[in-house]
Amino acid sequence: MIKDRLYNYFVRKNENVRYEYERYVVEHIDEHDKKRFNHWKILWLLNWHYCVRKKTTPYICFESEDMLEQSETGNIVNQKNTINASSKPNLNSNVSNKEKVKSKYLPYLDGAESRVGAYTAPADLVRKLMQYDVISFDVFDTLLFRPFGKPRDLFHVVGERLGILDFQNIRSDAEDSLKEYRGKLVGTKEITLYDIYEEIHYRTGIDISIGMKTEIEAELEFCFANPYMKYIFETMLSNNKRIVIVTDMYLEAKVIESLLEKNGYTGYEKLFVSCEYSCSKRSGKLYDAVIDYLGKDVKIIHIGDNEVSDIEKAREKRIDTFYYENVNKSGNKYRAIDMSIVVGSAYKGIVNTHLHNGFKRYDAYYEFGYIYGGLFSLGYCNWIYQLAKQKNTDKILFVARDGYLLKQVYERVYGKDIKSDYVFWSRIVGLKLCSYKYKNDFMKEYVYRWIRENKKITFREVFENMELLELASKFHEYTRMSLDDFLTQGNQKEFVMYIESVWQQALAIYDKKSEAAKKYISGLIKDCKRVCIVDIGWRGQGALALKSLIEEKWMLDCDIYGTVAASAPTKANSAQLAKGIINSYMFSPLENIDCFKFHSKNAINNVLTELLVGAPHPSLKSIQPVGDSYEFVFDVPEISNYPIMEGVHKGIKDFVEEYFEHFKNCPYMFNISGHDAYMPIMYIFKDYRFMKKFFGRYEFQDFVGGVLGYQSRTIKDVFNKFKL
Amino acid sequence: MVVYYAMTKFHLLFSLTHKQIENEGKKGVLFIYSGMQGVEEYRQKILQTEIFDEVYILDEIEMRSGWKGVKNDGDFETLTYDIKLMTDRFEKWMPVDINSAEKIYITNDHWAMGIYCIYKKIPYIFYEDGVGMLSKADYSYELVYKLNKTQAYMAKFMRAFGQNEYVVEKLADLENQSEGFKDEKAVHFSLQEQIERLNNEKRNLLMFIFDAPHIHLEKEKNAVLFTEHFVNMKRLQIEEQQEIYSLICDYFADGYSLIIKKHPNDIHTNYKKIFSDAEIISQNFPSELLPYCFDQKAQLGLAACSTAVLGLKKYFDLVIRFNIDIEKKYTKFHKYYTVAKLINDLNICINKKIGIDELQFEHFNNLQRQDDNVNNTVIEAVLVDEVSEYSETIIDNYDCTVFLNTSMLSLDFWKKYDSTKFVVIEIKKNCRQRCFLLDKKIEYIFIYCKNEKIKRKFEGIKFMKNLPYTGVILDVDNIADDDKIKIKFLEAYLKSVNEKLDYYIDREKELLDEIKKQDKI
Repeated sequence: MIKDRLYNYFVRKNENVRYEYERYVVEHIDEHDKKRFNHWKILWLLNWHYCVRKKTTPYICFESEDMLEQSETGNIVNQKNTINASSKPNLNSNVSNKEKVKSKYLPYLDGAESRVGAYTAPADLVRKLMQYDVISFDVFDTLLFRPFGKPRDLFHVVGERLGILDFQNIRSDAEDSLKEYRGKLVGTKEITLYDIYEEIHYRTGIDISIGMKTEIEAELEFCFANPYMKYIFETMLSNNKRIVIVTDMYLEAKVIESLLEKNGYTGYEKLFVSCEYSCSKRSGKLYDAVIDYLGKDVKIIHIGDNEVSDIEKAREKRIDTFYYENVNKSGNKYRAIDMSIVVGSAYKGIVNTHLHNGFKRYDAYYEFGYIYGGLFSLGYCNWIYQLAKQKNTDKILFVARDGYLLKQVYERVYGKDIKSDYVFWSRIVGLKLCSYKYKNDFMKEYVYRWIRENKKITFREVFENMELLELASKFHEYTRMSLDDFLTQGNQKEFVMYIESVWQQALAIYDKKSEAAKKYISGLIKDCKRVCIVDIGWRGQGALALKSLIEEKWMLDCDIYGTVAASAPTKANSAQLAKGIINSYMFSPLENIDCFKFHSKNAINNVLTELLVGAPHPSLKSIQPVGDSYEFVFDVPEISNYPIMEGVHKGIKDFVEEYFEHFKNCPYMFNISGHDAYMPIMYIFKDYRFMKKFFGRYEFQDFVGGVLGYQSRTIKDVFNKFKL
Repeated sequence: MVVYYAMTKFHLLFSLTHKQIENEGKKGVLFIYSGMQGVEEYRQKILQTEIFDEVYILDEIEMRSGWKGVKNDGDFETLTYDIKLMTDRFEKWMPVDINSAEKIYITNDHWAMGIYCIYKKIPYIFYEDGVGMLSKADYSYELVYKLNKTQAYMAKFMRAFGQNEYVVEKLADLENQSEGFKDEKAVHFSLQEQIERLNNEKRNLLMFIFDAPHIHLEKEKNAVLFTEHFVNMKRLQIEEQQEIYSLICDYFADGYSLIIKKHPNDIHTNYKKIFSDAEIISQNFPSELLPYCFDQKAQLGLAACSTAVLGLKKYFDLVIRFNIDIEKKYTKFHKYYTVAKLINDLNICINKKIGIDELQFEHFNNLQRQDDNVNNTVIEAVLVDEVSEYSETIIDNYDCTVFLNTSMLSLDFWKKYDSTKFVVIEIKKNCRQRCFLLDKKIEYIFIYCKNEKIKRKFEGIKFMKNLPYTGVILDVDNIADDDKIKIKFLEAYLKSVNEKLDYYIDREKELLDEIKKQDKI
C-alpha cells in the first residue's frame, strides 16, 4: 500500500512525469531491478523538471507531435548525459544539433549503420583463425540468430500457438525464477527445457510435452544461420581446422544439433551444452570440459557474443577469444520505438541481424531502403492485397512512378493471385485530361503556383507546359503582351482571361489526348469490373482523376477505387476517405492522427517519403494520339537519381525477401499496421541531417511541366525553402 | 655463401630447386617469411634434407613496425623515414652478414631484404614472382598498392620489382612473358623445366618438404582447376571468387571429373560447397609439383589467370587460362558463350572484332567449334563489345553486327537505325535455391541485320544452358514481339543516353576542378 502511495505521489501525480518515467522503464525493463537507484534518480530528475521547475518541454522522450515541436526548436535534453552523469540536466534551449543526436532516441544519422564501430572483415578473421588448431563457437547470437529484437520475443509466437495470453512473460519468468531457485539450492543455475515447462505446467496447466514440442518447433522454424559465422565455420572446416561448439543453454544437445544441422552447420567435432554437463561457460567450468576433451597442448580460440561467459571466462582458462558483438546490442539503439511488440521485434531483429552481422557492409542508400522502406513496402502491399480481396477486385494498377517498386514487392509476395499492372501516369497527365473537371487545380498548378513561388517562366513556356502553344496565336493581339514576356503577379489576370477565352478549344485538344489515353487504359483494365489504383499519396488525386476518366468520361464499365500510403497534410479528401473511394494505409485525417499531425508539420515529409519509391525512368508528360494508336512522351530524366534509387530499391527488396522467408508460415506477421510501418520513417524524419546529407542533391520536378532542365529542384532547395 | 629469400611457397620451391641445380655444394642460407603457413615445419624439413645449411625465419611485420605510413606519392620525408627504419631493423636482425654472400636471390624485392639490398647498394639476382610476371611489373605494383600503399610507394621509389641497377640478373621463364617483352638482364629459367631436370631422389626431397601427395586419377577425363587467392589479395569479394570459379568450371569442365588444386594462400573459399563432386587436394604445395603427384596425365588445366598453369602446359592436353584482368571481365561469360554458340550454329564468320576480350572469345569459340559444320551459307559479321564510339560506316559493310554492349554507342547511332533492323537476344537466368550467381538480371545482345533474310536466320535461336555448379539455367531466346523489341531498343537507347550524360557530368566536374586549380595558381 505504501508502495502504491509513493508511486502515485512521485509518478502519477504529473502526467508528463508518468509518461516519461513509465516509458523509460518499459524500454529499460532489463535493468529495472538491477539498477533500481538509476531509475529512481531519473524519476527524481523528472519531478525536478516538471514539478519543481514547472517545465513543459520534454525531458527524455519527444515522440509526440508537441514534443517534437519542442525538439525541433532545440528545447530537448541530452538524455544520455542526463541518465549517466550526475550533473544537472541541460535545459538550455539552444542545444546544438550535434548534442541532439546523442539522445538515445535517434537513428544513426551519419551514414550506413553497418559501417559503425570496430569491424573484422570475414576474410581477416579467417586469416587470424588460421593460426589455431581448434575453433570453438558459441551458438545463439553467434552461429544462429533469431529474427527478433530480443531473443525472448520468440515466446510471443509460442504463446500464440499454445493459445495462452501473456505467455512471453510467463515463459521468461518461469526460466528466471527456476534458475535463481536452482542456483540457491544446488549452486548451479543449469536447467532444462523440461524443468521450465514443468514450472509452466504448474502455473498454467499446459501439457509439458506439448509446450516443449511447440517451443522446439518454433526454434527450428525461426532460427537461422548467421551468414558471417556460417562463412567462417565452413571456411575453417575446408582448411581442415577442428571445430567444437560450446553453449550455455537449457535445450538438450540433440535439439541444438538439429538446429545446427538444419542451418547447415555440420562437420564439427563436438558439442558442449551446459545443461548436459551441469556446468556453464559463465562459471568457467564448461571450458574445463572442453580443455579436458581437446588436451592442453592444443591452440584454441573461442568465438562468442557474451563479454562475460564467452570472453572473460574463456580467457581465465587461457583460451584465446574473439569477441563478436551481439547484433541486437549493436543495432537496437538505432531502431525506432513505439512499435507493436511482435511486428516491432521482428522488424528490429531482421534489421539488426542483417546490417550488423558483419558479413557485408552497405552504403547509406541501401540501408535507407532496408531500414525505413522495407517494412513500409511490405506492409502496404499486404494491406492493398487484403483490401483488394475484401472488395472483390479484379486488378490492381500501380501508378507510375511511385508504383514501380511497390508492384515488384507486391508480385514477389502475392504473385498473380490478383492480377496487377504498372501504369504510366502522372500528375501532369491527370491535370490535363481532367481539366474539364479540375480546372481549378489545373490553373493553380500551371499558373498561380509559379507566381506564388516566385519562379520565372515565360508565357510561351506556360503554353508549352500546357501543350496549348497552338492556341497562343492571338495572345499578343488579345493581351498586348509578348509570348516571351514573363508571367508575373501583375499580368496573371490578363493571361488567365486569355486562357478562359480559348478554354473550349483547349478542352478539345485535351479530348484528343484523352482518347489516346483511353486506348491505353482500357487495354489495361479489359474485362475488369473493379480496379484498385495504387499511389503513394497524398490526396489521392491520381486515383480520382483515373476514376473520373474511366467511370464518367470514357463510360467504361468498371468501378474504380484508390489507395494511398498516406494522406497528408491536406484534409481536403476527408469525405472521399470516409466513403472508401480513397483508402489510406499509414495515416490520414481520419486515422492514426498522431502520425498525421507529425507528418503534416513539414510539407517536405511528403517528398522525402517518395524517395523510398522512385522509379528509374522519367515522368510521363503526355499521351499523344498517333494514328489509331498512341505514344508516350516523357519528361527530362533525372539520371543522377538512378544509382541512388537502385541502392534504395535493393535495400527494400532485400528486407522484403528476408521478412518473407522468416515469416512465410506466420501469415499474421504480414498484417503490419500502418502505424508500425510509419514508425521507422517517422524516426528518420525526426532529425533531417541524414536526409540532407545523402539526398540533398536528389533532383525532382516540383512544378508541373518541368520540360526545361533548370526547372528541376533538389531536396536541398526544398530544405532551404522551408528553412529547415 | 649463397643467400635466398622465400616469401611464398613458389619462392621456396624456386630456392630449393635452384640451390640444388646451380649452387650445389655451396654453403646455403635461406630466409623464409614468418607469415608463410607451416613455416616452422618447412624449416625443420629443409634442415633435415640438408639442401640449405642455415634457415632463418624473417618477421616482416616486425621489420615494418613503427612505420609512419606514406599518405601520398610526394611524401618523401615519411617515405625515407620508413625506408631507413626498415633497413636499420633488418640490419640489426640479420643473423648472417649478407654483404659477404657470393650471390643473393630475391623474388619480392619490395620487402625488407630487397629494400635493404637496394638501400645498401648490394647486388642481387632477381627472380620473377610467378611464371610470366617479369613482364608485368605494373600489375605487381597495382596489387601491392591495393594491399599496402606505403609499401607500394616504397617499391616505386626504390625501383623494386627488379627495376634498379643493383639487379645483376633477372631469372624468368622467357617463353611465357607478355608479347614483345625484352630485358637485357633477363635470363631464361623455367622452374618447371628445372624440376624436370632433377633426378628422382632430389625431386622426392621436394615432394617430402612440401608434403605433396600421390593422387590416383580414377576417371578417364580429368580437369584440374588451379585457384588463386583473389580474396586474400583483395582483388575480389568472397562471393565473387565463388562465382568466378563456379562459372569457369560450368562452362569449361563440363564432362570432366574435377580436381581442385588450391593456391597455398587461398584460405577463404570452401570449394566443397561449390563443387560437391570434386576432389579437393587438401595439401598446400606449389602447383609445379602437381604433375609428379598424379599417376596419369590429366586432360584439362583450368585457371582464371593463375601463372602456375603456364608452366604446366605440356602436362595437359588443353590449358584454359584467361587474361590477368579476368576478375573484371568474367561477368561477360554468358554473352560470350551465347555469341560463340550463335556463331557456330548459324555458321557466322566474324570478320571484324571491336573492343572484344580476344582470349575469352577464343576460349568460348573453341568450346563451340564444330568441325562437321557443313552449312555453306556464311554470314559475315562484326562483333562489338566495349566501344566508346562506333563508326556507322562499318555496319553497312557486313551482313550483321553483333553488339554485346550498347551502352556507350553514340546518340547518332540510335537515331540512324530503327528497331525493326534489330534482333534482340535475351539471356534469362533461372536460379536454383543454391545459387552462386551475383547478377541475376536479364542480359541482352543486340544484332543489327542488314536485311530481312539475315534477320530471319536469328529468329530460330532458342536454347538452354545448364550451369550446375553456379546453380543457374540460362534460357536464351530471341524477342519476337515487335513491341518488345521496340521497348528493348528504347531501353538500350535510354541507357546509352544516360551513360553519355553521366560522362558529360563527370567531364564537366573535371573541367571545373581544373579551372579551380588554375585559378588558385
